[in-house]
Amino acid sequence: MAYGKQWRTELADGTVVTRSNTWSPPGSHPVGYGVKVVTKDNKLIRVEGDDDNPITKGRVNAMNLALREYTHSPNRIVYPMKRAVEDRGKDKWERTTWDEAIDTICEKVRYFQNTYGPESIVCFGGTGREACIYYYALTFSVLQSPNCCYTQSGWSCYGPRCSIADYVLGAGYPELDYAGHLPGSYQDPRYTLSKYVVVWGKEPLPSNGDGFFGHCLVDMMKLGSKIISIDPRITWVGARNGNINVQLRPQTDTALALAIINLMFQNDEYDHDFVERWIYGVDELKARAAEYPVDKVAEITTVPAETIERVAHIIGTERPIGFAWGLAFDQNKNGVQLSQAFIIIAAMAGSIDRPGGLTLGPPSALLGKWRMEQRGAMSDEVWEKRIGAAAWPGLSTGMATTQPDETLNTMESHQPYQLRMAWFNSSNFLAPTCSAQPKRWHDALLESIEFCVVQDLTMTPTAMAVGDYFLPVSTWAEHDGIVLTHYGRNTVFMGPMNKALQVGEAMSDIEVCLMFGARLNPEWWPWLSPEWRPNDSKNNGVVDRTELSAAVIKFFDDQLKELGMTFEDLREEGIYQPGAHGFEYEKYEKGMLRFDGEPGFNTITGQIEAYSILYESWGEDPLPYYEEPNYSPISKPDFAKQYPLISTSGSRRYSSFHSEHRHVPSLRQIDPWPWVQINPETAKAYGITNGDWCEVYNMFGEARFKAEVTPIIKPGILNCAHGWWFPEQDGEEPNLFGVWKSNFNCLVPHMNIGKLGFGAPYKGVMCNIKRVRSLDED
Amino acid sequence: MADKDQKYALLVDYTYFSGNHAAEIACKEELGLPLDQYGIKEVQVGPFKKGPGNDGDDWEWSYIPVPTSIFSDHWGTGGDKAGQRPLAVQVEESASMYYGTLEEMEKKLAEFDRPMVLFQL
Repeated sequence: MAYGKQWRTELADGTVVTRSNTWSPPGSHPVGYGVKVVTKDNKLIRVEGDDDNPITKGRVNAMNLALREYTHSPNRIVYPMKRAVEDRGKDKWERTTWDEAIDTICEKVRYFQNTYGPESIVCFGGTGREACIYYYALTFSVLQSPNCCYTQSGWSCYGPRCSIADYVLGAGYPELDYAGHLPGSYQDPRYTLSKYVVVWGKEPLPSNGDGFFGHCLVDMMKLGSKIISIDPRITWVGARNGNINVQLRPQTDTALALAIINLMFQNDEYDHDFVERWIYGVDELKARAAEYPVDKVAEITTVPAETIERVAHIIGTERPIGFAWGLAFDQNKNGVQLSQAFIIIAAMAGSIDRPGGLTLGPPSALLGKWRMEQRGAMSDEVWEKRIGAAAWPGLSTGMATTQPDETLNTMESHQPYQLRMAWFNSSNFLAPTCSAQPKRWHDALLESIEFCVVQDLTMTPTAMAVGDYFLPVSTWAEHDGIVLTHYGRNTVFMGPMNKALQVGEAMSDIEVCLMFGARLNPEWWPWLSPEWRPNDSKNNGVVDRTELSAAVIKFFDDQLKELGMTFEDLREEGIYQPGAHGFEYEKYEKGMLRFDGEPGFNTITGQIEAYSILYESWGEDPLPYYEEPNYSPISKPDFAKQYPLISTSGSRRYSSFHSEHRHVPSLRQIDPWPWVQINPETAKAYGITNGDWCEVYNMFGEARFKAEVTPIIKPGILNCAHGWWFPEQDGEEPNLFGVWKSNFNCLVPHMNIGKLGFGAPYKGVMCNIKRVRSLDED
Repeated sequence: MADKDQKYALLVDYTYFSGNHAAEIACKEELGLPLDQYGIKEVQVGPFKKGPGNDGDDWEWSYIPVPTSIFSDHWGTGGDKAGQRPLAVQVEESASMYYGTLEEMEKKLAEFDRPMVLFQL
């Protein structure tokens, strides 16, 4: 049904239709699907599409369409809960009020700050959700600790790509130009359709990685773009007519990239003008790339030499070439070099900040900038205590967090000090999305942490194992906010989230920050009065919201000031696209990337650094190189017989966001069990048939999946599901909703990372497989 | 008011229908169906290899969203939602489903030069 463009419509029968843009929770990247949320009597009736959204044009993904089930799920926790520390792991939670929770938690925060120093508090953030913007502020300016931690070994998600873009390219995140920033979309006169799009280590249709609306690839294919898919699997996109598949061995991507660079030089097929003007270290790069002749790389990658030659020729000669780079760049010990080589290839193809190529964001913008400014709330003395920062400058320069692996070391050893209080802001870190060796994290946390707060929507294995307080979070349909793609690193567009209903006493991440910030650090959190109280203890558990809701609007008004608009303006407008507000291509020509206003890129040399001055200063090779993965049958021949296979992981499906959505019936119905993809030939050799339960194991651990026998993966390679736990099972210790049963991250080593502190082999570890009777029986 | 004998159809551009499950969930939501019933159910063909190389042309892999009799009852001739765009058609992420009168959909079909499926409801 059409309800018009106004942000709220009330129908005669009491139905209310709220125009909004999606983010999270439930878990999602900041995609910003344009939607109409239909509610009645404070119940969510259904989510519909918004035809007027210029990017999504009415389309909505399965997970957001299932929001009604998620919102009113019996698994949902909608009031604050608490549990005695000695009852961790037991289902002995009891309801409390926000009044009590805030008073007790603030008292604890003051105790740890004053007794052990603010650095004794650590805040853990998960991936994708809005918390990615707010957990930095929660750590730095609310709790005033320097220890904000994303627990994935080697920070292996998005952060590495952003940091390398910062170091080597001197710009925000480069994203495929899908005309999302232009009000006229693909028909905008400023846009040129990509002739080819190189989709590398990414499956954007189900994943919408980093907020990129993945189905744009389908729109572009319909208009005539062809795809070059670089992936160990054949993907559905790669299987369309006219598209090319480069099916490489997991973790060998950097060798492939160097071979492509070498061929582009050898064949003299690249954008000469751009390379001469804007790439630093061309001669050194040429010499390095020459060490990767195509035949040698064909052997390393198992990709036929002719395929590599064909792809290098297309990238060298067809214009424009778009690029989409994905998680495989991060989940690789050699990923820093891969990202550097990728940026060089895009530059040699003349694709940087040009129509149909890659768009660039400024180094930081809007909420992204505010997020980073929060570190100013601490003294230098406290900031210098950030875990792993001094030892890993190549990570801590680009990221404001701790080095993740060092954080586990600190919890296990209490060196250089003991972490005593933890706050989980939307992280279910025991489920296999994030931390490697999650059992070690579990044991270390229980031993080290004396007080633990968890902010989430359902009782997760993490909350059940370690939480002392549970603060309920609201969905995107239950709060006001802003969704901006790429977390502010390249805001292709931005949209308002408009509150459509209130469920229980759930709060948004910004509301939690405002409430605790007003109490703990009012100088940095001036939007809500320090005297404000939820008053739910004397009001039948109902929070007194008027002032809190107004504070949220005031907060966003302040964020939007630099764009000359208020939250109300954005709400009325429905969307903000930079193309209607002075967006320009080729910003490096116009002095729009550097802080000094000069033309060029915001690097030390002002150019794109094929020879990285920063890498060199951190003891890393300044030029890209290939390194065989540490846990492969080639690098560990002694183990090759025991573990002859290689498994990748981390690929996404339409039915879940990492460890989320397992309790939503209509989504669980789509993918009811964890799966492992295996080639028919390998399956036959191991006596495995489609649907069999299997155990995948290596020297670090084991996990169980149901076999999906499929030719899309080469013999000897497995692809395991991630993020699995079983909300229907016993939640108490030691079972914890079955979180250890299908936990792929148990097979991933701790701290097997690159020299800059980035990149762990979630997408390629040696292993073996055997058939078992079921999830629980051998 | 629509003619009570008016025929309706669902047209699917199955070269690009991506199997994203949005139409399945949308139908359940719009019609309030129980978990084990579907208005639209996707069926999968492949993936299997058909050619000697490894290009897209060498692979077969497609999905078709099949309208069930529940869908036809609502959006077909005489249905309570006949002529109204189904939520499934609006939200489907690859924008590869079309709904209208049989005549409209036949006309639409003729605009494409690739294989399509026309379901008469």
